[in-house]
Formats: sequence, C-alpha cells, structure tokens
Amino acid sequence: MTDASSLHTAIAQGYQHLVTAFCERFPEWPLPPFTVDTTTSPRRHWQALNDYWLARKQGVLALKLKEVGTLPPEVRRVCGAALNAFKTEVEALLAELEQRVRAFEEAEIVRRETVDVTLPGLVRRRGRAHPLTQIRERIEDIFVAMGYAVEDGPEVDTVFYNFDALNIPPEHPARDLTDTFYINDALALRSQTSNVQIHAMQRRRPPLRVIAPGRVFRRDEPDATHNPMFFQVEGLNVARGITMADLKGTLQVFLTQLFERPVTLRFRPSYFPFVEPGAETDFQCIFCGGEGCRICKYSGWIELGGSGMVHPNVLRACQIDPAEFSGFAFGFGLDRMAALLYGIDDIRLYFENDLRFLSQF
Amino acid sequence: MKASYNWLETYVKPNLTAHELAARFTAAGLPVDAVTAYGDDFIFDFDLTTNRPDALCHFGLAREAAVLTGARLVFPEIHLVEYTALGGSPAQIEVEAPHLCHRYAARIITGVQVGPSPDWLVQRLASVGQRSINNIVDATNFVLLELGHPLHAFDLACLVGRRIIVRCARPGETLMTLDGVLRELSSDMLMICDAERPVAVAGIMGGAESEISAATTEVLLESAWFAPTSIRRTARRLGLHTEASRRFERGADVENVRRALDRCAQLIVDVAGGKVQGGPLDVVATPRTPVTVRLRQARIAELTGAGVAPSRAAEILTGLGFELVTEDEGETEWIVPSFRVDVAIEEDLVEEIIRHVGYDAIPATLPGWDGSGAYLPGDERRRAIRQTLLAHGFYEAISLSWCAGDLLTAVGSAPGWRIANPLDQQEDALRTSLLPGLLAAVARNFRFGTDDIRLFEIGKVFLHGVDGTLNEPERLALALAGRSLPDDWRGQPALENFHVLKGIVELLCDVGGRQQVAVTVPADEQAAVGFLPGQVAVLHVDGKPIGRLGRIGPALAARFELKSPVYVAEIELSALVDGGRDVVTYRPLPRYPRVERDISALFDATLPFATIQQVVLDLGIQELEQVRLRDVFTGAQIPPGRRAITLNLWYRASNRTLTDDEVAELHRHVVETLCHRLGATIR
Repeated sequence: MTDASSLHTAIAQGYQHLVTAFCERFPEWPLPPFTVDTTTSPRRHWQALNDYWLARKQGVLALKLKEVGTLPPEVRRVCGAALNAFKTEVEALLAELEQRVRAFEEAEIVRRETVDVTLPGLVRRRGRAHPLTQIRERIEDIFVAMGYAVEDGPEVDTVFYNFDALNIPPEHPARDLTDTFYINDALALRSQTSNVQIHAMQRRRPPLRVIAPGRVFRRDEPDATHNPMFFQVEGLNVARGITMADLKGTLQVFLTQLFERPVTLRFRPSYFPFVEPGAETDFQCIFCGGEGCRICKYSGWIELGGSGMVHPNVLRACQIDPAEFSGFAFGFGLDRMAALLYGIDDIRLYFENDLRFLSQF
Repeated sequence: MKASYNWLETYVKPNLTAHELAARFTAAGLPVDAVTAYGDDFIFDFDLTTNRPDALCHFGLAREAAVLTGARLVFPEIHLVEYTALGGSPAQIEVEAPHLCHRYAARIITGVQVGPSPDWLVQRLASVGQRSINNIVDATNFVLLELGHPLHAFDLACLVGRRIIVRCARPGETLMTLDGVLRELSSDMLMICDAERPVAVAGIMGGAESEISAATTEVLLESAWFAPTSIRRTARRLGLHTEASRRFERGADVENVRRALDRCAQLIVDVAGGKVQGGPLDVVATPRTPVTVRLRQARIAELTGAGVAPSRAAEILTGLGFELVTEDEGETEWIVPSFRVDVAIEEDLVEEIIRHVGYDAIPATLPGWDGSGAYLPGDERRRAIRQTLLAHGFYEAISLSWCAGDLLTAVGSAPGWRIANPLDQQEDALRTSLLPGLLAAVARNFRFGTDDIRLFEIGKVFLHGVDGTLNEPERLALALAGRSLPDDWRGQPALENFHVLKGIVELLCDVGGRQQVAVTVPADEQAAVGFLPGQVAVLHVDGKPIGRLGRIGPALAARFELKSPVYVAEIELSALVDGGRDVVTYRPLPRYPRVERDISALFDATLPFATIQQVVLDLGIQELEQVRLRDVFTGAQIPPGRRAITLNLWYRASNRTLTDDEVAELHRHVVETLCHRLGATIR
C-alpha cells in the first residue's frame, strides 16, 4: 500500500532524477520551469510530470526534438539519437510511476466503497402460500401427472348434487340442520366435495379422471380437530373395467409420491352411501414405519379417508350405464393431511391468518 | 355399541382371543375401537357404520364372528308355555297406521312379581354399561342387546280398555314420557295408545303412567316394527334419542318381531314368574316382500380385482343368512335376510363377500389411460399471480366463507345470501367480498404486534345472479400496511401507500397478460364506500371495471381498530386469468437513435397526471415514442394550488435519424399545447 504523500515524493524524485540526467547529457540546453501544486492528487501530479516531458506539442522532449530538426545534419543525427534514448528512459520511468498511481487509486476505491456486508439485504422477504394451498398444489401436480383433470365445483350447491345424486337418502342424518348449513330448502353449503363427482360425470362422459380439491362445510363447533369450514380432495375415475384394485394402486402411487417414500396401504370395509363396496383407507405411519408412535396413536396406521366403487345409483343419476362402466371414487381431508405433514395440532390455525403461523411454511 | 366377549360366546365359540377377534371384526368392516378387560370378560367397543343395525346386538355380532372364524352359530332354544287365557282375549290390538307400523305383536303375562333381577342378568347388563332397573325392564333390555330388537313392557292394568291402538297423535295430545318430561305431540308422530290416550311414543320411549312399577302384576309385552323415517323424524322433533329409536331409525328386522317377543316373554317368566296368557296377539299390517338379488360370479373380480372361488362366496353368503334360490352357470340368486336392510343390489353382495374374504386380498394395480391430465382453466396464470405476490412479500390468507352481513355493506358490497342455520347468528352472511375477512386478518395481526403486513386471499364470493341463481365468482384481494421494506435500515423507512398498491395491482394485470389496464377515479359514491375519499380508484381491464383499490376509510378503520393506514384491493380473478396463452409477435428493434427531451412545467395541482399524458398522446405525433413522468414536486418554491411536473419524452423516427430542428419543432408543439390547453407554465 502506498499513501498519497509517499507517491508525491516518488513522483518528485522521478522529476529530480530526470532533470539531473537531462542536465548531465544536454548541459547546453536549459530546462523550462516545472510547477506543480503538491496538494493535488497523485494522478494530477503524475499527469503534470508526464505533460512536462512528454506532451505532444509543448512537452520538453517535443520542443527539443523540434529544435534538433533545425541543426546541421551531422549534429542532428547524434543529438536526435541521444534525445530519443533519453525519451525512452522518461517513458519507462513515467510508466512505472503510473503503475503505482493506478494501484494507489484502486486502493482508494476499495477504501471508499467498502460496505458492511453483514447488514441485512434490502429486498422484502418473500411471503408464503397458505399451507393448504401448498399441499393442494402438490396433490394436483401428482394427479395431473397421472392423467387426472382438476375440476372445480360449486361450494353452495343444490340438495340434488349434495345429497340426492350421491345416493344419500332423504332421512340421512348428514342432511340434518344440525349437520349441514342451508341457504334454503333447495341450497346447501356442500358438505363434501363429492358433489363435483356428479357435475363432472354430467359434463364429461366416461372415460374420465377427475380430481376436485375445495372447501367444504359442516355445522361443527370449532375445536382443535373440527372447523365448520375445511378442505377436501375428491378423486374420481370412471371407465370400462375399473376395479377396486385400481383404486388401491392409484392411492398407493399417490401417497408414495406425496411422502416421497414407499407407502403401504390398507383398505377396511366401510360405508358411504355413494360407493359400494366402500372402504376406509389407511396408510402405514410414515413417521414410525408402523411401529406405533404418538402421531398414529400407537396403531401404526394413519387414516386417509373414504373410498370405494361408485354406487350404481350414482352412475345412473349421471346417465352412465353401470353395466358398461365402473368407477372408483375417493375423498380425504387436506387439513388433516397438512396437519400430519407439518405437525399442526390445531386446525383452527388454518383460518386465523396469523402471520406468526403463516410465515412458518 | 359395547359388546361382551363372554356374552358372544353363548352363541358362538370363536376360538380366538378377544383381541384377535376384535382385529377380525375390524377387518370385516365392524370396527372395534377398543377392547377392555372386565373381570374375566373383555368388552368390545364397536364403532359401527349406520347401515348395519343388524350388528347392534350380540347375536348379530355372533353371526359375523361365526363366518369370520368358521365356528358354529347357536341360538338358545325358546321354551314357552302358553296358558289358555281366561275369558277370551285378554287384550286387543289395532293398527290404524299400517304404513308406519308394519307389524305389532304382543303377549300378556299375568302374575308377575316385579323385583330385582337375578345376579347373572344384572352382571350381563352391567358388563356392557347398562344399569339394572327391575326384572321386567331388564329382560326387555337383555333381549334388545341380544337380538337387537327393542321391546316395551306396559303395565296392562294401566291401559284403558285393555286396548292398544297404533295411531298418529291427535291435535293437542300430550304424553308424560318415562323421563318425566311432558311431551307435546304433533299429528305426524306415531303413538301407542290405549282406548283413550297415548301411552308411548312408538319405538322411542314409553309413557310414565303405564310404566312397570312394583305394583305391576299384568304385563303387556310389545314387539313391533316401525318405519325408520317416522321414528327418525319424531326422535329429532322431540330431541329424544334412545337405544330403541337408534335401532328402529336404522331399520329393525320385521321378521325378528316374534322371536324377540317369545324370547323376552320366556325370560320374564324365568326372572319374574307369572304365566303367559294365550297365544301371541300378532297384527301384520303390511306384509314384507322378500328381496332377492342376483349375483354373477364374474362381477366379484370385475368390481374388486380379486378372484373368489364360487364355493367360498356361497359359504360366506349362507353364513351371513342369505338363502340360495337358484344356481345357474356362473350366476346365483339369493334371498336377502330380513335383518340385512342394507343389502339390495349385486354390488352389496360383492361387498359382503369381499369383506369376509378380506380387503387385503384386493391387489394394487393401475388403470390404463390414453388421455392427459389438465389443470383448472386459467390455473397457469392463477399460479403465476400467486407466485408474483409471494415474491413481493405477500402471505396467503384463507378466511371463512361467511361474516356479519353489515360488514359486507360497510365495504360497499352487496348484503348477499344468508345461511338459514348459522353457527353464530351474527355471522350468517355468505361473503360477497373478500375484504371483511382480510381486514379481520390485518386487525388480528396488528393486535399480535405485527405492523408490516402484506396479505392476499384468492377465493370465491357468493352473489345473487339473474333469475335468483347463486353465482360463485373467484376474487383476489390484497391488503398492505406498515413499512414497504420492513428491514430497511437506511433511516426514514418508506411506508406502504396507494401507489405501492397500485403498482402491485398493475403488476398482477401484467402477469395476467392484460394490456388494456386503467385505474380511474370512481365515477360514483357507491364505488368508494369503505374507502378514504381521495385515495380510492376503480381498476379497468379491457374497458370493464373489474375491481377497486384504495385506502380503508376512517369508519371501517375504526370498526376494525386499524391503528395505521391499510390499503386494499379486490379484483375479479377471472378478468386476470381467463383466456388462452398470450400471442407474442416480434417487433424489429429500432434502427435509428432516439432523442430525449424533458418538459418541466407548473400545472394546476388538481389536474390528474393521466390527463396531461393523454393530451400529449392525443397530439398523435408519430415520432413521439413515449411520455414518461420523471418527477412531481410541490414545495415552498411552487405557488400554492400548483405543482411542478417533469415529463420525459422520447422522439424517434423509424426510417431516419431525426435532426435537432425536427425534434425542436415537434417538442415546441407539445409544450405549446400543454400551455394553451392545460394552462401549464414552463419553469
């Protein structure tokens, strides 16, 4: 590192050295005065010295070479050669000094521009998608890759789509005012995403593969495991020759993709009016591998949701001939799946929109 | 439903431990939640599905256990001695509502001695959590738990005219039920009546006046079948859910009426003495037609993907009480037992077979497919919009789909649809705007000490459509408050403001591929409701209003206790995401240089920038490539009522380099227009 004053000294010494050398070689030639403001920058100091000797028109050497041109040829040759030799020395010295000036200048820039790199960055931190959106998109991605179309259905739907077409009899308790939210006798807040099954089967003809994530509503008082609004995913596959084995395989591939590890699945017979045969699906606990832990309540299994073969009455309600086509359907709760993945123990947190919660995902 | 292992063993010897048996039950669709030791017994806690009322009793469970284990099912023989009734029929039964009561049977037992039950009976009931009442009532409860059929014992002496009339209640009739509550009855409720008045709510609960008491010597024992829908409706109306109603509303076994009656009559004689007077009084008001179901053997594999041998299938169905009618090539026909109210079609039979074979026998396969998957229409843009918001520091909120109705009007939205049976009467309005939910979220975060907030929500609102329909358009709402850059350590922090909000809204329009975007001052007051006048605007895309943006007004701010300015926007999402992919056509890069000129002038402070810009653009100068705002300034040097605006203009010709003179001429035209048309004074 060179500081400014030592650089000034070096340039001044360079000047002295050249003056001495010049006077020794050309004693008969007087030198014009060299003035420089020593409070100036090393660059200016160097530039002044450079101009003094080397400026194209008014530099000492340019003037002397011009003068030499007027001398007789014999003298001109000798003097010219001597001057040119001297010029080469001047250039070398000034080049060397410039190197030192440039190094000094770069060091100056570094000194001036040094920042505290440990101060925080000046861009706003990114936000986070809601955990339910994150898992919903993952699930959509998996099923779209398996050839499913994502469907959307009404969140407020007619009693026909929410119950009748799903083979839920008129006196079924799910229809009670204590269980389902109603707008009037004809309209209800859907109590499951299964209504999309009906819309999808009416809109598209088989073969069809549909996945329908969305909000559902049940008239439950909120607590740690219940909320009057929550999210489900519905799946439906109707084609010729669809079997329950296809259902099992499909859910197995889905869970394996979702949890990014092989997942073991089991069916338990169960009852849902819109499927027959019906099954409850469990998967082996991904946290303990089936050994039993707090999360699987020491059973080794975690409940996914209901599923089964689409009931012939449901197919018929959608003008699909059960003799020709069969299908499987499944549904499960997004809230529970996200709770499982993230270890959330109170599902009400999903809908409180507390940034201390949302920022964790 | 609780069931005792020892009790089950009186009908079937499963030769399995209680826990092993529980696992088999669960695997067959009769889930056992818990097995608990009870003395030398084990108690199963079943969580049965509603379609299996036949399994709501020990004998029904024993039947399943017999098929699950291959053990033999035995029912104790009934030895009933009928004494010849003295003086003809001791009681009379009439069914006036044959559609609601398909069968009503009764027996008269005289000379009973009401008292405590013997130990074995007390123990049996206690093991499944039932309290002993007296020997007569305990006998009916025992048979309920054994055969699943609810019975009722009347004190015959209390029945006026020794008559039973099954009819609906008459206007104004009341009944004091066993629980001591005086019930007001309505004409759709089925009642058991004597000659004068109701004495029991059919299939739900008896009346207090004809209750078995210490003084009872004559018993009329009822065993009947009531229509499920009627029982369900009445139980719900009375708020009275009993062991009896639970079974009748799911569907009792009409063919079980006599067996339950005789079994219970015998038990009463065993534990309370007395004599059975005469034969049964049995009124079949509506005879039952047996259900037959055809089963194609191939259908089992077609539905389940698992092959089951025909002999195994037949063995299971027979064990479960199905009766083979005909057998043809690959096809059988079965009579469904009367207790299986859930079986009506071939698929039901397939489930019976496969659940006993075991669902584990179903392999895992993947169906073939020659289509391709698809996201929701517009989802590519929906996801891009969400990603853009996330990148700009927004967190995603999800709010309830309903709120207080007046909040909707307070944000300038329609009152909307009402939920008829909300959880909270205050919050019965389906949302017509996302703003109340988002403002509540902002307020909550303020309360918890977060000042710098960026939140958004994408969700449906519920609107009244034409001709009374309900529409569910999807909306996007944003909320901003506090510092734009919370971690800014450079001194005076920049706060969120209207133009930050506007910038984000315009950015989202751009992400949505919208080119015709305008933000204008609201034309009417309604559009500004909820906002601070002077900081509210309407967003237009392709000339149509699609949303509002601005700062929340003082009234709403006070209501939500917002302690610092909150900026919100709400936009119809379809206007940003609908439509196909953008078509991009390349434009050649300019070949000649541009010339930049600035105009710095004083304008009337209320003159909108958009007007100034438009006036310049309306000159139609072909060489004017763009007009940008460089600077807006008001301060001590500027006269009151004026503001200084600096515009930056780019001139360029597509076919040559513009000369200084040409640019000067064009620019002079712009400056003069601003001065003459808009009263600008050049600084």
